[in-house]
Amino acid sequence: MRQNCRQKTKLGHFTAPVLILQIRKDFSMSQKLMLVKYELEGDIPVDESSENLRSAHAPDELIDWAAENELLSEIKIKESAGEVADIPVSIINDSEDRCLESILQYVESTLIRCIEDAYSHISGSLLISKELDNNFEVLHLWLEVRKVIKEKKEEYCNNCNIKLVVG
Amino acid sequence: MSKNSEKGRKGELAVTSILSNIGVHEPRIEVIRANTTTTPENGVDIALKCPHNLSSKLDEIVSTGKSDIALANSQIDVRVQVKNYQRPISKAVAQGFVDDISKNQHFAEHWGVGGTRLTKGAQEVLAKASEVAPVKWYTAPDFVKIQAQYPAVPFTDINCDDGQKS
Repeated sequence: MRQNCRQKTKLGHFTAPVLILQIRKDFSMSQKLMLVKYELEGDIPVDESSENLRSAHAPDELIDWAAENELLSEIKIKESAGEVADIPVSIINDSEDRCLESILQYVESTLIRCIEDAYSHISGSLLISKELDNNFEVLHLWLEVRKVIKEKKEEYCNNCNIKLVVG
Repeated sequence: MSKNSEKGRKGELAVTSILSNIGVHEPRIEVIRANTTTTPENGVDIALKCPHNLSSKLDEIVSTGKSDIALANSQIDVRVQVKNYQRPISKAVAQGFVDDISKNQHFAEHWGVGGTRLTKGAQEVLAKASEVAPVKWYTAPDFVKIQAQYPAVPFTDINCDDGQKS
Protein backbone atom coordinates (compact mmCIF):
# COMPACT_ATOMS: atom_id res chain seq x y z
CA MET A 1 0.00 0.00 0.00
CA ARG A 2 2.78 2.39 0.96
CA GLN A 3 4.54 1.48 -2.27
CA ASN A 4 1.44 2.38 -4.27
CA CYS A 5 1.09 5.76 -2.57
CA ARG A 6 4.67 6.60 -3.38
CA GLN A 7 4.13 5.63 -7.00
CA LYS A 8 1.06 7.88 -7.18
CA THR A 9 3.06 10.79 -5.78
CA LYS A 10 5.81 10.19 -8.28
CA LEU A 11 3.34 10.01 -11.12
CA GLY A 12 2.05 13.40 -10.03
CA HIS A 13 5.50 14.68 -11.09
CA PHE A 14 5.35 12.68 -14.28
CA THR A 15 3.94 15.36 -16.55
CA ALA A 16 5.59 18.35 -14.88
CA PRO A 17 8.95 18.25 -16.70
CA VAL A 18 7.20 18.13 -20.05
CA LEU A 19 5.19 21.27 -19.29
CA ILE A 20 8.25 23.15 -18.11
CA LEU A 21 10.20 22.25 -21.21
CA GLN A 22 7.41 23.65 -23.36
CA ILE A 23 7.33 26.94 -21.47
CA ARG A 24 11.06 27.51 -21.87
CA LYS A 25 11.17 26.49 -25.53
CA ASP A 26 12.21 29.91 -26.81
CA PHE A 27 15.28 29.89 -24.62
CA SER A 28 16.35 26.32 -25.24
CA MET A 29 20.03 26.17 -26.06
CA SER A 30 21.37 22.69 -26.05
CA GLN A 31 23.87 23.63 -28.69
CA LYS A 32 27.03 25.66 -28.59
CA LEU A 33 28.79 27.90 -31.03
CA MET A 34 32.41 26.81 -30.90
CA LEU A 35 35.56 28.21 -32.42
CA VAL A 36 37.38 25.01 -33.29
CA LYS A 37 40.93 24.61 -34.59
CA TYR A 38 41.53 21.62 -36.88
CA GLU A 39 44.54 20.14 -38.58
CA LEU A 40 43.74 19.76 -42.26
CA GLU A 41 44.50 16.83 -44.52
CA GLY A 42 44.09 17.89 -48.15
CA ASP A 43 41.94 20.85 -47.04
CA ILE A 44 39.68 18.55 -45.02
CA PRO A 45 39.50 19.02 -41.23
CA VAL A 46 40.43 16.03 -39.04
CA ASP A 47 38.12 15.50 -36.04
CA GLU A 48 40.74 13.80 -33.86
CA SER A 49 43.04 16.83 -34.18
CA SER A 50 40.39 19.37 -33.13
CA GLU A 51 40.84 21.81 -30.29
CA ASN A 52 38.07 24.06 -28.93
CA LEU A 53 39.44 27.60 -28.64
CA ARG A 54 36.32 29.40 -27.39
CA SER A 55 32.64 28.57 -27.08
CA ALA A 56 29.30 30.00 -26.06
CA HIS A 57 25.83 28.54 -25.66
CA ALA A 58 24.00 29.27 -28.89
CA PRO A 59 20.35 30.36 -28.58
CA ASP A 60 18.12 28.36 -30.92
CA GLU A 61 16.85 31.69 -32.24
CA LEU A 62 20.34 32.37 -33.63
CA ILE A 63 20.79 28.93 -35.17
CA ASP A 64 17.31 28.98 -36.73
CA TRP A 65 18.01 32.44 -38.18
CA ALA A 66 21.39 31.33 -39.56
CA ALA A 67 19.79 28.26 -41.17
CA GLU A 68 16.95 30.30 -42.69
CA ASN A 69 19.46 32.73 -44.18
CA GLU A 70 21.67 29.95 -45.56
CA LEU A 71 24.56 30.88 -43.29
CA LEU A 72 24.73 27.38 -41.84
CA SER A 73 26.49 24.67 -43.85
CA GLU A 74 27.16 21.00 -43.34
CA ILE A 75 30.67 19.82 -44.17
CA LYS A 76 32.13 16.35 -43.88
CA ILE A 77 35.33 15.95 -41.92
CA LYS A 78 37.66 13.00 -41.39
CA GLU A 79 37.41 11.09 -38.12
CA SER A 80 41.19 10.49 -38.16
CA ALA A 81 44.03 11.27 -40.55
CA GLY A 82 44.04 8.97 -43.57
CA GLU A 83 40.33 8.14 -43.32
CA VAL A 84 37.39 9.01 -45.56
CA ALA A 85 35.63 12.30 -44.80
CA ASP A 86 32.29 10.98 -43.53
CA ILE A 87 31.61 12.83 -40.29
CA PRO A 88 29.01 15.58 -40.89
CA VAL A 89 29.60 18.77 -38.94
CA SER A 90 27.49 21.96 -38.96
CA ILE A 91 29.47 25.16 -39.37
CA ILE A 92 28.76 28.83 -39.88
CA ASN A 93 29.53 29.42 -43.54
CA ASP A 94 32.77 31.41 -43.70
CA SER A 95 33.45 31.11 -47.43
CA GLU A 96 32.40 34.74 -47.92
CA ASP A 97 33.08 37.69 -45.64
CA ARG A 98 29.43 38.74 -45.76
CA CYS A 99 28.35 35.61 -43.88
CA LEU A 100 30.26 36.48 -40.73
CA GLU A 101 29.30 40.13 -41.11
CA SER A 102 25.60 39.22 -41.42
CA ILE A 103 25.58 37.00 -38.38
CA LEU A 104 27.50 39.55 -36.35
CA GLN A 105 25.00 42.24 -37.32
CA TYR A 106 22.14 39.97 -36.28
CA VAL A 107 23.77 39.31 -32.89
CA GLU A 108 24.42 43.01 -32.34
CA SER A 109 20.82 43.96 -33.17
CA THR A 110 19.66 41.30 -30.74
CA LEU A 111 21.99 42.74 -28.08
CA ILE A 112 20.46 46.19 -28.58
CA ARG A 113 17.01 44.64 -28.21
CA CYS A 114 18.17 42.94 -24.98
CA ILE A 115 19.37 46.30 -23.63
CA GLU A 116 16.02 47.88 -24.51
CA ASP A 117 14.21 45.01 -22.77
CA ALA A 118 16.32 45.54 -19.66
CA TYR A 119 15.63 49.29 -19.79
CA SER A 120 11.90 48.62 -19.97
CA HIS A 121 12.13 47.04 -16.52
CA ILE A 122 13.43 50.23 -14.99
CA SER A 123 10.78 52.73 -14.01
CA GLY A 124 12.22 55.87 -12.45
CA SER A 125 14.32 54.67 -9.53
CA LEU A 126 12.34 51.41 -9.31
CA LEU A 127 14.09 48.30 -10.55
CA ILE A 128 12.19 45.10 -11.21
CA SER A 129 15.05 42.95 -10.07
CA LYS A 130 13.70 39.52 -11.03
CA GLU A 131 13.06 40.63 -14.60
CA LEU A 132 16.43 42.38 -14.71
CA ASP A 133 18.22 39.21 -13.57
CA ASN A 134 16.69 37.41 -16.52
CA ASN A 135 17.43 40.28 -18.94
CA PHE A 136 21.06 40.41 -17.82
CA GLU A 137 21.47 36.63 -18.12
CA VAL A 138 20.19 36.77 -21.71
CA LEU A 139 22.35 39.81 -22.44
CA HIS A 140 25.41 37.97 -21.10
CA LEU A 141 24.63 34.97 -23.28
CA TRP A 142 24.47 37.05 -26.47
CA LEU A 143 27.62 38.95 -25.50
CA GLU A 144 29.47 35.63 -25.24
CA VAL A 145 28.14 34.63 -28.68
CA ARG A 146 29.37 37.97 -30.06
CA LYS A 147 32.87 37.34 -28.65
CA VAL A 148 33.09 33.99 -30.46
CA ILE A 149 31.98 35.43 -33.81
CA LYS A 150 34.15 38.53 -33.49
CA GLU A 151 37.22 36.39 -32.74
CA LYS A 152 36.63 34.35 -35.90
CA LYS A 153 35.97 37.48 -37.96
CA GLU A 154 38.84 39.59 -36.68
CA GLU A 155 41.58 37.04 -35.95
CA TYR A 156 40.88 34.01 -38.12
CA CYS A 157 38.81 35.35 -41.02
CA ASN A 158 40.83 33.69 -43.76
CA ASN A 159 42.10 30.81 -41.67
CA CYS A 160 40.65 27.55 -43.05
CA ASN A 161 41.93 25.61 -40.01
CA ILE A 162 39.58 27.43 -37.69
CA LYS A 163 35.84 26.88 -38.06
CA LEU A 164 32.75 28.15 -36.26
CA VAL A 165 31.12 24.85 -35.37
CA VAL A 166 27.53 24.47 -34.17
CA GLY A 167 26.91 21.46 -31.97
CA MET B 1 14.12 19.26 -42.17
CA SER B 2 12.78 20.56 -38.88
CA LYS B 3 14.09 23.73 -37.35
CA ASN B 4 16.94 23.47 -34.90
CA SER B 5 14.73 24.59 -32.01
CA GLU B 6 12.12 21.98 -32.95
CA LYS B 7 14.71 19.19 -33.08
CA GLY B 8 16.10 20.23 -29.71
CA ARG B 9 12.63 20.40 -28.15
CA LYS B 10 11.66 16.97 -29.53
CA GLY B 11 14.93 15.39 -28.38
CA GLU B 12 14.60 16.76 -24.86
CA LEU B 13 10.95 15.70 -24.62
CA ALA B 14 11.72 12.19 -25.91
CA VAL B 15 14.55 11.67 -23.41
CA THR B 16 12.41 13.16 -20.61
CA SER B 17 9.68 10.70 -21.52
CA ILE B 18 12.03 7.69 -21.49
CA LEU B 19 13.61 8.72 -18.19
CA SER B 20 10.14 9.26 -16.73
CA ASN B 21 9.17 5.78 -17.92
CA ILE B 22 12.20 4.33 -16.13
CA GLY B 23 10.87 6.16 -13.05
CA VAL B 24 7.51 4.42 -13.44
CA HIS B 25 9.23 1.02 -13.47
CA GLU B 26 11.99 1.67 -10.93
CA PRO B 27 11.87 3.26 -7.48
CA ARG B 28 13.52 6.49 -6.33
CA ILE B 29 13.87 8.16 -9.73
CA GLU B 30 12.65 11.72 -10.21
CA VAL B 31 12.95 13.63 -13.46
CA ILE B 32 13.33 17.25 -12.53
CA ARG B 33 14.40 20.47 -14.14
CA ALA B 34 17.38 22.39 -12.80
CA ASN B 35 15.99 25.62 -14.23
CA THR B 36 12.32 26.46 -14.18
CA THR B 37 12.81 29.97 -15.51
CA THR B 38 13.87 31.34 -18.86
CA THR B 39 17.51 31.71 -17.82
CA PRO B 40 20.37 30.00 -19.68
CA GLU B 41 20.80 26.48 -18.43
CA ASN B 42 24.57 26.06 -18.75
CA GLY B 43 24.38 22.69 -20.42
CA VAL B 44 21.65 21.16 -18.25
CA ASP B 45 18.77 19.94 -20.42
CA ILE B 46 17.32 17.58 -17.83
CA ALA B 47 18.22 16.96 -14.20
CA LEU B 48 17.69 13.60 -12.54
CA LYS B 49 17.55 12.53 -8.93
CA CYS B 50 18.18 8.79 -8.97
CA PRO B 51 19.90 5.87 -7.20
CA HIS B 52 23.67 6.22 -7.36
CA ASN B 53 24.05 2.97 -9.29
CA LEU B 54 21.42 3.68 -11.98
CA SER B 55 24.10 4.33 -14.59
CA SER B 56 25.71 0.94 -13.81
CA LYS B 57 22.34 -0.71 -14.46
CA LEU B 58 21.83 1.25 -17.69
CA ASP B 59 25.39 0.37 -18.79
CA GLU B 60 24.61 -3.33 -18.28
CA ILE B 61 21.37 -3.00 -20.27
CA VAL B 62 23.30 -1.34 -23.09
CA SER B 63 25.96 -4.07 -23.16
CA THR B 64 23.85 -7.19 -22.51
CA GLY B 65 20.25 -6.14 -23.16
CA LYS B 66 19.14 -6.62 -19.54
CA SER B 67 20.24 -6.11 -15.95
CA ASP B 68 19.45 -7.63 -12.56
CA ILE B 69 21.32 -4.96 -10.62
CA ALA B 70 19.22 -3.84 -7.64
CA LEU B 71 19.05 -0.08 -7.36
CA ALA B 72 20.56 1.50 -4.25
CA ASN B 73 18.66 3.55 -1.69
CA SER B 74 21.04 6.50 -1.82
CA GLN B 75 20.28 9.11 -4.46
CA ILE B 76 22.47 11.40 -6.52
CA ASP B 77 21.86 14.34 -8.84
CA VAL B 78 22.64 13.81 -12.51
CA ARG B 79 23.01 16.39 -15.29
CA VAL B 80 21.66 15.19 -18.64
CA GLN B 81 22.46 16.91 -21.92
CA VAL B 82 20.59 15.80 -25.05
CA LYS B 83 21.94 15.99 -28.60
CA ASN B 84 19.19 15.07 -31.04
CA TYR B 85 21.59 14.28 -33.89
CA GLN B 86 21.34 11.69 -36.66
CA ARG B 87 25.12 11.71 -36.95
CA PRO B 88 28.20 10.84 -34.86
CA ILE B 89 29.16 12.97 -31.87
CA SER B 90 32.37 14.76 -32.82
CA LYS B 91 35.30 15.56 -30.57
CA ALA B 92 34.32 19.27 -30.51
CA VAL B 93 30.76 18.48 -29.35
CA ALA B 94 32.03 16.06 -26.68
CA GLN B 95 34.49 18.72 -25.50
CA GLY B 96 31.64 21.25 -25.30
CA PHE B 97 29.72 18.84 -23.06
CA VAL B 98 32.77 18.23 -20.85
CA ASP B 99 33.49 21.98 -20.58
CA ASP B 100 30.13 22.44 -18.83
CA ILE B 101 31.12 20.11 -15.97
CA SER B 102 32.94 22.91 -14.15
CA LYS B 103 29.78 25.06 -14.18
CA ASN B 104 27.73 22.18 -12.77
CA GLN B 105 29.82 20.76 -9.97
CA HIS B 106 26.81 20.11 -7.73
CA PHE B 107 25.88 17.21 -10.04
CA ALA B 108 27.39 13.87 -9.10
CA GLU B 109 27.27 12.50 -12.67
CA HIS B 110 27.09 13.98 -16.15
CA TRP B 111 25.29 12.11 -18.93
CA GLY B 112 25.22 12.94 -22.61
CA VAL B 113 22.47 11.36 -24.74
CA GLY B 114 22.27 11.17 -28.52
CA GLY B 115 24.19 10.79 -31.72
CA THR B 116 24.63 7.64 -33.79
CA ARG B 117 28.04 6.93 -32.21
CA LEU B 118 31.08 8.66 -30.71
CA THR B 119 34.07 9.45 -32.90
CA LYS B 120 37.49 8.31 -31.64
CA GLY B 121 38.28 11.89 -30.67
CA ALA B 122 35.01 12.17 -28.72
CA GLN B 123 35.74 8.88 -26.93
CA GLU B 124 39.17 10.17 -25.90
CA VAL B 125 37.71 13.43 -24.58
CA LEU B 126 35.12 11.56 -22.49
CA ALA B 127 37.70 9.04 -21.21
CA LYS B 128 39.95 11.88 -20.07
CA ALA B 129 37.02 13.69 -18.42
CA SER B 130 36.11 10.46 -16.57
CA GLU B 131 39.38 10.77 -14.66
CA VAL B 132 38.03 13.86 -12.88
CA ALA B 133 34.23 13.40 -12.92
CA PRO B 134 31.77 10.56 -13.58
CA VAL B 135 30.85 11.05 -17.23
CA LYS B 136 28.67 8.82 -19.42
CA TRP B 137 27.48 9.05 -22.99
CA TYR B 138 24.48 7.06 -24.20
CA THR B 139 24.18 7.14 -27.99
CA ALA B 140 20.78 6.95 -29.69
CA PRO B 141 21.17 3.17 -30.29
CA ASP B 142 22.15 2.74 -26.61
CA PHE B 143 19.06 4.65 -25.54
CA VAL B 144 16.84 2.53 -27.76
CA LYS B 145 18.07 -0.56 -25.84
CA ILE B 146 17.27 1.17 -22.55
CA GLN B 147 13.86 2.23 -23.86
CA ALA B 148 13.10 -1.38 -24.83
CA GLN B 149 13.68 -2.49 -21.23
CA TYR B 150 11.29 0.13 -19.89
CA PRO B 151 8.18 0.13 -22.09
CA ALA B 152 5.43 2.66 -21.46
CA VAL B 153 2.83 1.39 -18.99
CA PRO B 154 -0.83 2.16 -19.84
CA PHE B 155 -2.05 4.88 -17.50
CA THR B 156 -4.80 2.55 -16.20
CA ASP B 157 -2.12 0.09 -15.05
CA ILE B 158 0.45 2.36 -13.44
CA ASN B 159 -0.63 1.59 -9.87
CA CYS B 160 -0.41 -2.17 -10.32
CA ASP B 161 2.50 -3.64 -8.43
CA ASP B 162 3.32 -5.85 -11.39
CA GLY B 163 3.86 -2.66 -13.38
CA GLN B 164 7.03 -2.18 -11.37
CA LYS B 165 10.18 -4.22 -11.86
CA SER B 166 11.71 -5.84 -8.82
